[in-house]
Amino acid sequence: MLAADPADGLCRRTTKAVLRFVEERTRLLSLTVFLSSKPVPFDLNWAYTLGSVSLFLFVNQLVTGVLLALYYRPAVSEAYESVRFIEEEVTFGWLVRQLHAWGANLMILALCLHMARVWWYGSYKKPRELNWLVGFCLFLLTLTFGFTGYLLPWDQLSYWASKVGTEIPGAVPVVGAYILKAMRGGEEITGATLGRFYAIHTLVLPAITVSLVFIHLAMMRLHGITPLPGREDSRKVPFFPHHVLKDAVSIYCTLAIIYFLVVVCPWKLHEKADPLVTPEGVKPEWYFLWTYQYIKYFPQQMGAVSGKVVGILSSGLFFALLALFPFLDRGDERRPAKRKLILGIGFLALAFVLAMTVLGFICETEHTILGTHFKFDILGIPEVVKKP
Amino acid sequence: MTPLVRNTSLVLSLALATAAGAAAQTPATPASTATASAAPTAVATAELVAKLGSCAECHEKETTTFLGSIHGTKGVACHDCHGGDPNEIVQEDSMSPAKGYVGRPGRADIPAFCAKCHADKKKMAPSGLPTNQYEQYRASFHGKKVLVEGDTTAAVCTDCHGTHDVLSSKDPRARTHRSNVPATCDRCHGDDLKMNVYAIPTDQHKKWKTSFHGKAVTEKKDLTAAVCTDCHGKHDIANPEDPHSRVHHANVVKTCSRCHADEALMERHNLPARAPADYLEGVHGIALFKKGNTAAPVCVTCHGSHGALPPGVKNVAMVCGRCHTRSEEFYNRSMHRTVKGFRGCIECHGNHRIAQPGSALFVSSCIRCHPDGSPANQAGKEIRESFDKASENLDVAARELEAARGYGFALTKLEEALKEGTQAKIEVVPALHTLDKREAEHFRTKSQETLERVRHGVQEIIFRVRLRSVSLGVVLLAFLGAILLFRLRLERLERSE
Repeated sequence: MLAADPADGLCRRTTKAVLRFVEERTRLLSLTVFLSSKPVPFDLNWAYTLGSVSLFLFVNQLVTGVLLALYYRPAVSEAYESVRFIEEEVTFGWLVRQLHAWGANLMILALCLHMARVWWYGSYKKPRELNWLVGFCLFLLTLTFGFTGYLLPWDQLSYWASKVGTEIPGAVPVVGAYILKAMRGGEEITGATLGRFYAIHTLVLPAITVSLVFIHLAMMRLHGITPLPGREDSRKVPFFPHHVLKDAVSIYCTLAIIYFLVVVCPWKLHEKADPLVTPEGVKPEWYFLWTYQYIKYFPQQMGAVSGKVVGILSSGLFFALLALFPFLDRGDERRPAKRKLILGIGFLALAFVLAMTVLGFICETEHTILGTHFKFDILGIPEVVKKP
Repeated sequence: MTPLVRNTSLVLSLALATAAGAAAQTPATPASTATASAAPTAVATAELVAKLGSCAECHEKETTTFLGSIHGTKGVACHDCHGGDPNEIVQEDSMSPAKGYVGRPGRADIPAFCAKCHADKKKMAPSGLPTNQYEQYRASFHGKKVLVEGDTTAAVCTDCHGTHDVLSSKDPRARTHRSNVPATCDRCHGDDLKMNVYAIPTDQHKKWKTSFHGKAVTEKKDLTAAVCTDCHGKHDIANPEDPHSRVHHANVVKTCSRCHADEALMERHNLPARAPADYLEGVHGIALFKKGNTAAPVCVTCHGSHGALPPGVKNVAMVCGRCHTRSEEFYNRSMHRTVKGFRGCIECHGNHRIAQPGSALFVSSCIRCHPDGSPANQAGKEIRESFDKASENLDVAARELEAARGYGFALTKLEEALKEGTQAKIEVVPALHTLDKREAEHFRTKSQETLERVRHGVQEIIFRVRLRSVSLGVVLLAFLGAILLFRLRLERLERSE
């Protein structure tokens, strides 16, 4: 047996002293212990790690966002050039930008899956309704992150997609014109729009999101993780290291997916924005595509109101339905087999959103399917045409 | 004096005056002979004066003029235009609005006033005159000014044709006779006060008189040469900026072709009738009519418009140099500039049918004067060789850059490098007009540098792509290792419990 090293003892004593110093003044260690010792059911499946994956992706966005902010310039004459500089000149700038761009998309996807898991298992039921609403707000904030961040590279696609995107709330009756002006900082997308989108994206949204994330986590710690339906009595294990190890596996899988996408399908920077040249096939990002497509099916005028307004307001009903799920799906039953009505409604809404998204993708494009060349019009209706 | 005596004396004096005027003013041309023979006889005049009735009694001066006009000779009477009743002796009755008297029309009403007859096919049938003048006038620049904008300073019928003294345009005395058209137009278009309002220059007539066309008409009395109406039209004159105008940039070649593609006419003037067709097949014609480059020159760009003259040998480079400024500058430094009888640009490039210039010109053109093997011919070949090699370098660089786009990397720097090389080509083309071999050699060196920069950049991109692919493999393996490690730790933990 080796003799104890006096230096080792000194090191341990110093560490203990430092930790005690911090603990006495902040209670940070007790909080960490409180959070990590949270008992969780031992039989939680992998879907229960989607919340942690979303949180990890949010942290990824914060870190890469801060690094991008070191070089990004939110001005019409410099925004595009600064992004190009980050891509071409800054050491690992391309990696940071790609991680940020892909991270944003995966974060929205992870949040959607996380919410789907909560909905499927009825985890939003009493007493967790408010935590669902907090999560719903976090989802809306993430969409706003995506919307405001999309304009920042100031390339053709981002400029025109933002122009189309800001016109949608602009069609709301009475207040639409004011909303549009407030969003754009004027009548058109200009440097004023870029400035306010940047400020909202980097200052306002992160502050609110971080606060809500803390509230979300605190409420989760308060009520505990919902066990699988029908297994309420299953054995409990501490959050650390059991569940943390599971989270780590999912997070590393996510990291692998992001890095694969970064290398194989890098996010392209298009031509610099030109307000005088409208590129063909301008569409919003995939998570807004269903709304964009859905509004197209409304006629120009519906009685006294414009069809666009009806479309916008009715698409808001989908979000309202999402927010109000815990209040519509009442009762203690959480087993999916016993909640057919609410799951049926949810699946119908989901199928509708997916269908609209697919139509949004294929509209105004041409594809050859089984040897026949199709041209899809603005509504996504195919027409057989001769191959160009 | 009784009306009968007065009318008789008027008839005699008018017949004498008309016949004397016709004999004095008519040159001995076939056209004028015909006009002179058409001069009213005493009997015809008497009939007409009788028809004019009471009008002629008071308006003696107008009647005198009118009887000598085309309308007078064709038996048109005052009341045909002005209305009223010439059979009434009392003025209040003969010039009564109740009798349809309209009096003297205002300037804006004159076109419609004339059109009452001149747009009427039945009335015009005996004289064989066209009836679309009013329609054309309304759509013309003059017509729009007068009838739409109410600007009565613009020309109406009487400004060009006269009022009571209207003559057939075949009559050499007529203001609208070909020989008189430039002077008629100049009455307004040479008036500074009138033209200042429209910002139209007033020296066209002066320029025309010094032109090939003007000299032919005024000095050689050759009426086949162009006068104003040949290019601008007559009743349908349009603003040159109007795409319908015959002198609009895109229509000039067609307008000039009306005469300059006429073989018989051009043969008389010893001019080639192929010039317009050659132009259309040349770079300028292709640029304008096939590529839609409206900045491409047309006939008037080189030859001038009102002062049209074929450029002389010494002026060719100057004319081409108005657009090809850099080429002219370098050409003036070349030894060709000092060679007597050398026709400048057209010697190598041709004139109307200018071929797309290329390095082949250094062989095909040089050989015409410099025999194969001569030092000058050899120099031409060397220039061509250097230029071709340099162009090839740029083509290779462009192809390699295009291929690199597939990697998804930003290529700004490489695009800039290629742009510099292309810029060098743009610069060397005019510089080659000095015929200095060093210019071509310098371009070759520059293009080689461009190619190397692009190649180096593309190789760097390929290296980065490979590096990223390797890093992807390493990172994925590391992540897989970590994932396995965590799974093992988790399983061990669950087993231990």
